[in-house]
Amino acid sequence: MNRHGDEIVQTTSEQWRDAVAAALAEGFSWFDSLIGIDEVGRPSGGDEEVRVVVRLVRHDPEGDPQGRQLHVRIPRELDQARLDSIGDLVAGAAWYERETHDMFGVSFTGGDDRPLLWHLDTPRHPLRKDELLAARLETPWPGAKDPDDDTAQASRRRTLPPGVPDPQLLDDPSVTPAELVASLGRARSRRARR
Amino acid sequence: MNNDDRTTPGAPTPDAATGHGSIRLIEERCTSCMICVRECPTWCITIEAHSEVLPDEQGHHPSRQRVRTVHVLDEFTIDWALCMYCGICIEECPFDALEWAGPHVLGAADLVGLVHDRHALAEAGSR
Repeated sequence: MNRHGDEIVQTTSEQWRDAVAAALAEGFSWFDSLIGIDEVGRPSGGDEEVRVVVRLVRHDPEGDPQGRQLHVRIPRELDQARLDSIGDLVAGAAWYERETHDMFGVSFTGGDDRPLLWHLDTPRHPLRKDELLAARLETPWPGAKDPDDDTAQASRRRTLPPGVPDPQLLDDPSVTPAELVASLGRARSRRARR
Repeated sequence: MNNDDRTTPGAPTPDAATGHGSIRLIEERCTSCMICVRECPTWCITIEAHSEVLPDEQGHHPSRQRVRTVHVLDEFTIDWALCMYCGICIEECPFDALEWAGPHVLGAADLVGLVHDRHALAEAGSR
Protein backbone atom coordinates (compact mmCIF):
# COMPACT_ATOMS: atom_id res chain seq x y z
CA MET A 1 0.00 0.00 0.00
CA ASN A 2 1.22 3.48 -0.66
CA ARG A 3 -0.20 6.61 0.93
CA HIS A 4 -2.90 6.88 -1.72
CA GLY A 5 -4.17 3.46 -0.79
CA ASP A 6 -2.85 1.76 -3.92
CA GLU A 7 -1.60 -1.77 -3.70
CA ILE A 8 1.99 -1.92 -4.99
CA VAL A 9 3.14 -5.12 -6.65
CA GLN A 10 6.82 -5.51 -7.51
CA THR A 11 7.29 -7.69 -10.51
CA THR A 12 10.03 -8.69 -12.95
CA SER A 13 10.35 -8.21 -16.66
CA GLU A 14 9.59 -11.92 -17.17
CA GLN A 15 6.43 -11.83 -15.05
CA TRP A 16 5.28 -8.33 -15.94
CA ARG A 17 2.89 -9.23 -18.73
CA ASP A 18 1.33 -12.06 -16.73
CA ALA A 19 0.96 -9.74 -13.73
CA VAL A 20 -0.96 -7.26 -15.86
CA ALA A 21 -3.15 -10.05 -17.26
CA ALA A 22 -3.81 -11.35 -13.73
CA ALA A 23 -4.81 -7.90 -12.49
CA LEU A 24 -7.17 -7.48 -15.42
CA ALA A 25 -8.72 -10.87 -14.63
CA GLU A 26 -9.23 -9.75 -11.02
CA GLY A 27 -11.28 -6.80 -12.20
CA PHE A 28 -8.59 -4.10 -12.29
CA SER A 29 -9.73 -3.30 -15.78
CA TRP A 30 -9.58 0.50 -15.79
CA PHE A 31 -6.19 1.51 -17.18
CA ASP A 32 -4.96 4.68 -15.54
CA SER A 33 -1.39 5.14 -16.68
CA LEU A 34 1.89 3.62 -17.71
CA ILE A 35 5.09 5.59 -17.32
CA GLY A 36 8.76 5.27 -16.44
CA ILE A 37 10.87 6.58 -13.57
CA ASP A 38 14.59 7.02 -14.11
CA GLU A 39 16.14 5.56 -10.96
CA VAL A 40 19.60 7.01 -11.49
CA GLY A 41 20.67 9.05 -8.49
CA ARG A 42 17.72 8.06 -6.31
CA PRO A 43 18.46 7.20 -2.69
CA SER A 44 16.83 3.79 -3.11
CA GLY A 45 19.78 2.73 -5.26
CA GLY A 46 19.39 1.31 -8.72
CA ASP A 47 21.59 3.72 -10.65
CA GLU A 48 21.47 1.34 -13.59
CA GLU A 49 17.71 0.97 -13.72
CA VAL A 50 14.55 2.45 -15.09
CA ARG A 51 11.35 1.62 -13.26
CA VAL A 52 8.18 1.18 -15.29
CA VAL A 53 4.88 1.62 -13.45
CA VAL A 54 1.44 0.71 -14.67
CA ARG A 55 -1.58 1.67 -12.58
CA LEU A 56 -4.86 -0.19 -12.93
CA VAL A 57 -8.07 0.50 -11.03
CA ARG A 58 -10.94 -1.74 -10.02
CA HIS A 59 -14.17 0.20 -9.86
CA ASP A 60 -16.37 -1.38 -7.25
CA PRO A 61 -20.02 -0.43 -7.66
CA GLU A 62 -20.54 -0.94 -3.89
CA GLY A 63 -17.45 0.78 -2.48
CA ASP A 64 -14.44 2.92 -3.27
CA PRO A 65 -12.28 2.28 -6.32
CA GLN A 66 -9.10 0.31 -5.61
CA GLY A 67 -5.82 0.97 -7.36
CA ARG A 68 -3.06 -1.51 -8.08
CA GLN A 69 0.36 -0.49 -9.32
CA LEU A 70 2.71 -2.95 -10.97
CA HIS A 71 6.33 -1.87 -10.70
CA VAL A 72 9.12 -3.40 -12.71
CA ARG A 73 12.78 -2.41 -12.71
CA ILE A 74 14.68 -2.96 -15.93
CA PRO A 75 18.23 -2.09 -16.98
CA ARG A 76 18.81 1.48 -17.99
CA GLU A 77 21.08 0.53 -20.91
CA LEU A 78 19.13 1.42 -24.03
CA ASP A 79 19.51 -1.97 -25.71
CA GLN A 80 18.36 -3.76 -22.54
CA ALA A 81 15.58 -1.40 -21.46
CA ARG A 82 12.88 -3.67 -22.81
CA LEU A 83 9.56 -5.13 -21.68
CA ASP A 84 6.81 -7.17 -23.29
CA SER A 85 4.08 -5.01 -24.74
CA ILE A 86 0.70 -5.00 -23.00
CA GLY A 87 -0.93 -3.15 -25.90
CA ASP A 88 -2.92 -6.24 -26.86
CA LEU A 89 -4.17 -6.74 -23.26
CA VAL A 90 -5.26 -3.18 -22.60
CA ALA A 91 -6.73 -1.11 -25.37
CA GLY A 92 -4.97 2.25 -25.34
CA ALA A 93 -1.83 1.13 -23.51
CA ALA A 94 0.06 1.26 -26.81
CA TRP A 95 -0.05 5.05 -26.71
CA TYR A 96 1.53 5.05 -23.25
CA GLU A 97 4.14 2.58 -24.39
CA ARG A 98 5.06 4.89 -27.25
CA GLU A 99 5.25 7.81 -24.85
CA THR A 100 7.41 5.80 -22.44
CA HIS A 101 9.66 4.88 -25.34
CA ASP A 102 9.95 8.54 -26.36
CA MET A 103 10.61 9.83 -22.87
CA PHE A 104 12.64 7.02 -21.24
CA GLY A 105 13.97 4.89 -24.10
CA VAL A 106 12.10 1.78 -22.94
CA SER A 107 11.19 -0.54 -25.82
CA PHE A 108 8.13 -2.78 -25.80
CA THR A 109 8.53 -6.15 -27.52
CA GLY A 110 5.58 -6.86 -29.76
CA GLY A 111 4.45 -3.27 -29.43
CA ASP A 112 4.83 -0.12 -31.42
CA ASP A 113 7.95 1.98 -30.88
CA ARG A 114 7.19 4.68 -33.42
CA PRO A 115 7.68 8.19 -32.01
CA LEU A 116 4.54 9.63 -30.52
CA LEU A 117 5.46 12.98 -29.00
CA TRP A 118 9.11 13.41 -29.73
CA HIS A 119 10.10 13.50 -33.38
CA LEU A 120 13.82 13.87 -33.84
CA ASP A 121 16.26 12.36 -36.28
CA THR A 122 18.54 11.39 -33.41
CA PRO A 123 16.51 9.79 -30.63
CA ARG A 124 16.89 11.42 -27.25
CA HIS A 125 14.95 10.56 -24.15
CA PRO A 126 14.16 13.79 -22.34
CA LEU A 127 12.89 12.36 -19.04
CA ARG A 128 16.12 10.49 -18.41
CA LYS A 129 17.94 12.48 -15.77
CA ASP A 130 21.25 12.52 -17.63
CA GLU A 131 19.58 14.13 -20.63
CA LEU A 132 20.94 17.67 -20.62
CA LEU A 133 18.52 20.56 -20.73
CA ALA A 134 20.15 22.68 -23.41
CA ALA A 135 18.09 25.80 -22.67
CA ARG A 136 19.10 25.60 -19.01
CA LEU A 137 22.76 25.39 -19.93
CA GLU A 138 22.57 28.38 -22.26
CA THR A 139 20.25 30.71 -20.35
CA PRO A 140 21.85 32.85 -17.65
CA TRP A 141 20.39 31.77 -14.32
CA PRO A 142 18.98 34.72 -12.34
CA GLY A 143 19.88 32.87 -9.11
CA ALA A 144 23.60 33.07 -9.85
CA LYS A 145 23.63 36.63 -8.56
CA ASP A 146 24.80 37.21 -5.04
CA PRO A 147 24.02 40.54 -3.33
CA ASP A 148 27.24 40.12 -1.33
CA ASP A 149 29.40 39.96 -4.44
CA ASP A 150 30.78 43.41 -3.77
CA THR A 151 31.76 42.71 -0.18
CA ALA A 152 34.20 40.59 1.73
CA GLN A 153 31.34 38.30 2.74
CA ALA A 154 30.87 37.09 -0.83
CA SER A 155 30.15 33.40 -0.78
CA ARG A 156 32.94 31.26 -2.18
CA ARG A 157 30.51 28.53 -3.02
CA ARG A 158 28.86 28.92 -6.41
CA THR A 159 25.39 27.48 -6.51
CA LEU A 160 24.23 25.64 -9.60
CA PRO A 161 20.65 25.84 -10.79
CA PRO A 162 18.57 22.69 -10.27
CA GLY A 163 18.99 20.27 -13.15
CA VAL A 164 22.27 21.70 -14.44
CA PRO A 165 25.36 19.50 -14.00
CA ASP A 166 28.83 20.53 -12.98
CA PRO A 167 30.21 22.13 -16.17
CA GLN A 168 33.56 20.40 -15.68
CA LEU A 169 31.95 17.00 -16.16
CA LEU A 170 30.39 17.92 -19.48
CA ASP A 171 33.65 17.69 -21.37
CA ASP A 172 34.66 14.42 -19.74
CA PRO A 173 33.76 11.48 -22.00
CA SER A 174 34.30 8.91 -19.23
CA VAL A 175 31.66 10.35 -16.92
CA THR A 176 28.83 7.95 -16.00
CA PRO A 177 25.15 8.94 -15.90
CA ALA A 178 25.20 8.45 -12.11
CA GLU A 179 28.14 10.85 -11.71
CA LEU A 180 26.49 13.40 -13.96
CA VAL A 181 23.22 13.20 -12.05
CA ALA A 182 25.02 13.39 -8.69
CA SER A 183 26.57 16.70 -9.78
CA LEU A 184 23.25 18.32 -10.70
CA GLY A 185 22.33 21.45 -8.83
CA ARG A 186 19.66 20.64 -6.28
CA ALA A 187 16.62 22.51 -5.16
CA ARG A 188 16.66 23.39 -1.49
CA SER A 189 14.78 20.84 0.54
CA ARG A 190 11.25 22.06 1.01
CA ARG A 191 10.12 23.47 4.30
CA ALA A 192 7.63 21.34 6.15
CA ARG A 193 4.16 22.32 5.10
CA ARG A 194 1.85 23.75 7.66
CA MET B 1 -14.78 37.65 -5.27
CA ASN B 2 -12.86 40.34 -7.00
CA ASN B 3 -14.62 41.83 -9.98
CA ASP B 4 -11.94 44.31 -10.59
CA ASP B 5 -11.55 46.11 -13.86
CA ARG B 6 -7.89 45.13 -14.21
CA THR B 7 -8.82 41.52 -14.82
CA THR B 8 -8.13 40.40 -18.37
CA PRO B 9 -11.46 40.08 -20.14
CA GLY B 10 -12.54 36.48 -20.31
CA ALA B 11 -10.02 35.28 -17.73
CA PRO B 12 -11.39 33.28 -14.82
CA THR B 13 -11.96 35.46 -11.78
CA PRO B 14 -10.15 33.96 -8.81
CA ASP B 15 -11.69 34.17 -5.39
CA ALA B 16 -9.73 34.95 -2.28
CA ALA B 17 -9.26 31.33 -1.26
CA THR B 18 -7.98 29.81 -4.47
CA GLY B 19 -6.94 32.70 -6.64
CA HIS B 20 -3.60 32.19 -8.27
CA GLY B 21 -3.94 35.41 -10.22
CA SER B 22 -0.85 37.41 -9.44
CA ILE B 23 1.76 37.74 -6.71
CA ARG B 24 2.30 40.76 -4.49
CA LEU B 25 5.69 41.83 -3.17
CA ILE B 26 5.80 43.27 0.34
CA GLU B 27 9.07 45.06 -0.12
CA GLU B 28 9.83 45.98 3.47
CA ARG B 29 9.90 42.28 4.37
CA CYS B 30 12.23 41.28 1.51
CA THR B 31 15.83 40.69 2.57
CA SER B 32 17.14 39.96 -0.97
CA CYS B 33 18.09 36.48 0.20
CA MET B 34 17.63 35.11 -3.36
CA ILE B 35 15.73 32.01 -2.20
CA CYS B 36 12.68 32.73 -4.39
CA VAL B 37 14.89 33.42 -7.40
CA ARG B 38 16.75 30.16 -6.96
CA GLU B 39 13.69 28.07 -6.21
CA CYS B 40 11.60 29.34 -9.12
CA PRO B 41 11.24 26.45 -11.60
CA THR B 42 10.74 28.81 -14.53
CA TRP B 43 13.45 31.32 -13.60
CA CYS B 44 10.94 34.17 -13.84
CA ILE B 45 12.10 36.20 -10.81
CA THR B 46 15.10 38.50 -10.75
CA ILE B 47 16.56 40.46 -7.86
CA GLU B 48 19.03 43.31 -8.06
CA ALA B 49 20.48 44.15 -4.69
CA HIS B 50 23.63 45.42 -3.08
CA SER B 51 24.95 45.35 0.45
CA GLU B 52 25.52 48.40 2.56
CA VAL B 53 27.41 48.68 5.79
CA LEU B 54 25.05 49.54 8.60
CA PRO B 55 25.45 53.12 9.83
CA ASP B 56 28.00 53.98 12.49
CA GLU B 57 27.96 51.83 15.59
CA GLN B 58 25.65 49.22 14.15
CA GLY B 59 28.07 48.61 11.30
CA HIS B 60 31.47 49.25 12.85
CA HIS B 61 31.51 48.48 16.52
CA PRO B 62 34.80 47.97 18.32
CA SER B 63 33.49 44.76 19.87
CA ARG B 64 33.11 43.14 16.47
CA GLN B 65 35.83 42.26 14.03
CA ARG B 66 33.65 42.14 10.95
CA VAL B 67 31.49 44.97 9.75
CA ARG B 68 27.77 44.31 9.62
CA THR B 69 26.10 44.77 6.29
CA VAL B 70 22.52 44.68 5.14
CA HIS B 71 21.11 43.89 1.72
CA VAL B 72 19.32 46.71 0.00
CA LEU B 73 16.84 45.74 -2.68
CA ASP B 74 17.28 47.73 -5.87
CA GLU B 75 14.92 45.89 -8.14
CA PHE B 76 12.64 42.88 -8.01
CA THR B 77 10.91 41.66 -11.17
CA ILE B 78 8.57 38.87 -12.09
CA ASP B 79 8.23 37.99 -15.74
CA TRP B 80 4.58 36.97 -16.07
CA ALA B 81 5.31 35.49 -19.48
CA LEU B 82 7.37 32.79 -17.72
CA CYS B 83 5.56 32.46 -14.38
CA MET B 84 3.38 29.37 -14.12
CA TYR B 85 1.67 30.46 -10.91
CA CYS B 86 2.95 27.50 -8.92
CA GLY B 87 3.45 29.54 -5.75
CA ILE B 88 6.76 27.92 -4.78
CA CYS B 89 8.26 31.41 -4.27
CA ILE B 90 5.46 32.28 -1.85
CA GLU B 91 5.83 28.99 -0.03
CA GLU B 92 9.62 29.22 0.23
CA CYS B 93 9.98 32.87 1.27
CA PRO B 94 11.23 32.76 4.89
CA PHE B 95 10.02 36.32 5.48
CA ASP B 96 6.56 36.12 3.91
CA ALA B 97 7.45 38.91 1.53
CA LEU B 98 5.40 37.38 -1.29
CA GLU B 99 1.70 36.61 -1.23
CA TRP B 100 -1.08 35.77 -3.62
CA ALA B 101 -2.93 38.78 -4.93
CA GLY B 102 -6.38 38.46 -6.40
CA PRO B 103 -6.84 39.51 -10.01
CA HIS B 104 -5.01 38.07 -12.95
CA VAL B 105 -2.16 39.93 -14.50
CA LEU B 106 -3.31 42.02 -17.43
CA GLY B 107 -2.21 41.22 -20.92
CA ALA B 108 0.42 43.43 -22.52
CA ALA B 109 1.25 44.56 -26.03
CA ASP B 110 4.68 42.94 -25.93
CA LEU B 111 6.69 40.56 -23.77
CA VAL B 112 8.59 43.37 -22.10
CA GLY B 113 5.28 44.66 -20.78
CA LEU B 114 4.82 41.41 -18.86
CA VAL B 115 7.93 42.01 -16.78
CA HIS B 116 6.62 43.80 -13.70
CA ASP B 117 8.98 45.76 -11.49
CA ARG B 118 8.85 46.11 -7.72
CA HIS B 119 6.47 49.06 -7.87
CA ALA B 120 3.97 47.18 -10.01
CA LEU B 121 4.35 44.09 -7.82
CA ALA B 122 3.78 46.08 -4.64
CA GLU B 123 0.43 47.15 -6.01
CA ALA B 124 -0.61 43.78 -7.40
CA GLY B 125 -4.27 43.21 -6.70
CA SER B 126 -4.72 46.43 -4.79
CA ARG B 127 -6.76 48.30 -7.34
